[in-house]
Amino acid sequence: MSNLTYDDPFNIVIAGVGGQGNVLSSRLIADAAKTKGYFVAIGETYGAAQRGGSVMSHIRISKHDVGPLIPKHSTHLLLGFEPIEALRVGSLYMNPESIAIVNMHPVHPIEVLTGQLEYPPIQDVENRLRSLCSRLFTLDAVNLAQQAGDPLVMNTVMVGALAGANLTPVKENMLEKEISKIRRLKEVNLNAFNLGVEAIKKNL
Amino acid sequence: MTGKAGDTVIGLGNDAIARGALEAGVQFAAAYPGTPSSEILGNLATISKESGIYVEWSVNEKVAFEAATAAAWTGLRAMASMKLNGLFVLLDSLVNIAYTGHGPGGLVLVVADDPFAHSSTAEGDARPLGFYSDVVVIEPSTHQEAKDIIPYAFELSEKHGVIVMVRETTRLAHSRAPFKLGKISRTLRTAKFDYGLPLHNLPRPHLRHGELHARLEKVRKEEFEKSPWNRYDGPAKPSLLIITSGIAWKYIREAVETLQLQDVGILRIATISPLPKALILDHLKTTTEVLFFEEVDPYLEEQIRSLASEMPAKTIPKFYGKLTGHIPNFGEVDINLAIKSIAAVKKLTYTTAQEEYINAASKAPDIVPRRLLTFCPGCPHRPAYYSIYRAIKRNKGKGIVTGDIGCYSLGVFYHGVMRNQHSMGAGVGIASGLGKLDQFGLTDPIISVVGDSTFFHACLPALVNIVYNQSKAVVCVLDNNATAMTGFQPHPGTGLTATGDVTSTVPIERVLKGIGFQSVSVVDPFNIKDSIDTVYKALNSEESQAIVFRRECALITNRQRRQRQEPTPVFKVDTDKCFGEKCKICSVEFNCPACVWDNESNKARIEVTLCNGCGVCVDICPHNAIYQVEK
Ligand code: SF4
Ligand code: SF4
Repeated sequence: MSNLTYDDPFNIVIAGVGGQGNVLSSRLIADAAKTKGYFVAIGETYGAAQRGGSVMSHIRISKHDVGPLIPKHSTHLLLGFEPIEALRVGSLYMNPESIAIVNMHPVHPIEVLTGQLEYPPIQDVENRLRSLCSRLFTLDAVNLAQQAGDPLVMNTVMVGALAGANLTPVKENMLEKEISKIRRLKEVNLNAFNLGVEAIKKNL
Repeated sequence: MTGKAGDTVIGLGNDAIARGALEAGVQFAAAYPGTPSSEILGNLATISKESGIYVEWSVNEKVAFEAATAAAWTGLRAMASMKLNGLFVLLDSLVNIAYTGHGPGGLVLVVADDPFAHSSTAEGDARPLGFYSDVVVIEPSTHQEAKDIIPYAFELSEKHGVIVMVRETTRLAHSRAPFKLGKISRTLRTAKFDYGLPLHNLPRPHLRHGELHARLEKVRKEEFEKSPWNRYDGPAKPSLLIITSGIAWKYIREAVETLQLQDVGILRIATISPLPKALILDHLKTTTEVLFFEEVDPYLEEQIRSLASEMPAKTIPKFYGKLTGHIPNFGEVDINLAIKSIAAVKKLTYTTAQEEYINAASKAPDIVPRRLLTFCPGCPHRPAYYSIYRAIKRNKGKGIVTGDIGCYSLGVFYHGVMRNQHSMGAGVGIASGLGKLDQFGLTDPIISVVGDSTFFHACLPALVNIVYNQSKAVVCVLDNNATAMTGFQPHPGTGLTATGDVTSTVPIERVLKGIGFQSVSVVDPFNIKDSIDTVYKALNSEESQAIVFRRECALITNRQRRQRQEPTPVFKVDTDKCFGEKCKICSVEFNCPACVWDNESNKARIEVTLCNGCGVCVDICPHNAIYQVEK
């Protein structure tokens, strides 16, 4: 994919767990795209967001007023906030050309926490993800967020990673500008964003 | 919400509707929270003071609608908003008020359907209900239309003396897209009561019914047959005509584009009831095949099929849709289904990826464990259910728990403690019946569990029934001081209004006493021993029993701690004392997500990043292995 022309609509799926800042990140990406004059639609499945359920956002960047849902196997990019959620959602929305950026820091489901089920070996999850897309970038975004000052800004690290990968119609400076508008923990968020950018650029 | 006219903003469909209400000059807005509708009133509440409008969270949807009717009666523009289940609750009032009319003001009812029941207990369709209730129904397809259709709805309502229902679905209500703002109306009308305008149907209700039908017929002829809200895109003689409404239109449009079909036409109906019959018949004449693509019920399909009976038999097109099995008659429609169903009717093959890839992809997540929903760490509902669960165990397993709607509905997953879940308040009514079956041999104790917001919404008549008819059901109210499920809206028990003002509290225990429950106890679910004992005693009492479990929602506690910059108390497991594998009471039985199992040591461990510091596990552990770490 060249950096100058993008498919229209350009589709991004974010997969994660309630409480990871999924919704906030999709709004941020949308706001950044809007400043470039794009129409952006976000479809969110977050009925159970506050209770540790799976959460998925669809972001579509277009010149037209497209609908909020991405067709199956039609995402250009998968932003995974959690490994098994990335695999669960990626297997539905990715195709062999898709690119995935995934935070490999797990959030254990309740039955794993209490020792009734097992979380699959992380290498297995990674291999399966890799087999489903053209390119997989992995990082430990929680770790980087901690370095930035707060593990809860993991989502900002991931937005930074998306920016650093430079694969979407929204560019690094546009996203950085939106991040700098966050009032709570502004410095921490900017640090997290830059750590995300660097982490990806090292891998490019 | 308060952006300048001409600006384009990105927002939820619900944000657009709220803005539309402001632009329409709404002066009175009432609602009961319910996903996916809550943000409409939530938005209006934030700006009610500066814009001089009145906004309330009503005790339920029926009251919200009646209160809004009152405002319209005095000439104001009034709106009630709710999820579909709310419409079920107010149908009786709706039908009656549609007959009488509602005075000179505008009366708009926004109903949010939840196809797929993402955050509901059942799917349903507001459109046929609006049709049977003889109200006008319109449905926007885009965020821009969601905003623009509200002022139009008010104009229609005032011009023709009809109630206008605006239907939206989850994917419009809860998706975000840009819309351009218009001017906010700054004129505030004065409420005037016209003593010469009584609103009743007596002495001859059936004649008022006829008058209402005449008003609706006028709306059809004068407004809807030529309405710019309906649109057709496609050739003059399409090989296939697709008829659709709401956000489904966007899916269909994209699907037709994806499949590159030039000879397909799309008729998008926004004026749902009364339907523009002449317009539809004109379109049916242009084609031989029609596909209906709509959300939830085959409403358009049934209406239009019966309309087609007016056509010469030979010219009636072939119909495809939910009635013919071409579209599933449950669940939500989406872009995939749009592509699939058009391809099926047109006998095309289309895939978004190679079959081999799709097969491999579908197997890839087979190592992924499920992610069950559970109460948050530190949630007061968990120890409340645990107490009920333990009390029933102590009672030799005897005790039938009926449930209700709210966060505490997760009780159906908590060791299956909760045995049923239906509509708001239904658990109390069912408990009331179960508690009267001893004469037929059912002597098990009955426990009815309800939340605090639900208590006020729909439980009061059933509670009176329990006392009046001497049913022996024990009522447990889980009072966490908020409507947590839908985003922490206040309710009559919280002492706060929609706009954050302090108001009189309606104390739940005094209501229960007032109704006549002989024993009403208030317990702290964090005090686990006391809670279990109280429930156990109630199960074996001859008196009518009500228990209020009172402790605020963990998310509120957390937020307050953060504001006061207080640290969360830290808890630890003494691995020497922990009984290990054979016990697992804290993790598996009590099931707090923060009581994790450490596979290496085969002992419990408190995960600090998840723990909310409630301290309940200390009392749960039978081996005194869990302790608080002193600061
Ligand atoms: S104190 Fe115990 S019960 Fe409470 S949240 Fe922490 S681990 Fe769970
Ligand atoms: S309840 Fe106590 S003894 Fe039992 S597993 Fe938990 S910490 Fe160990």
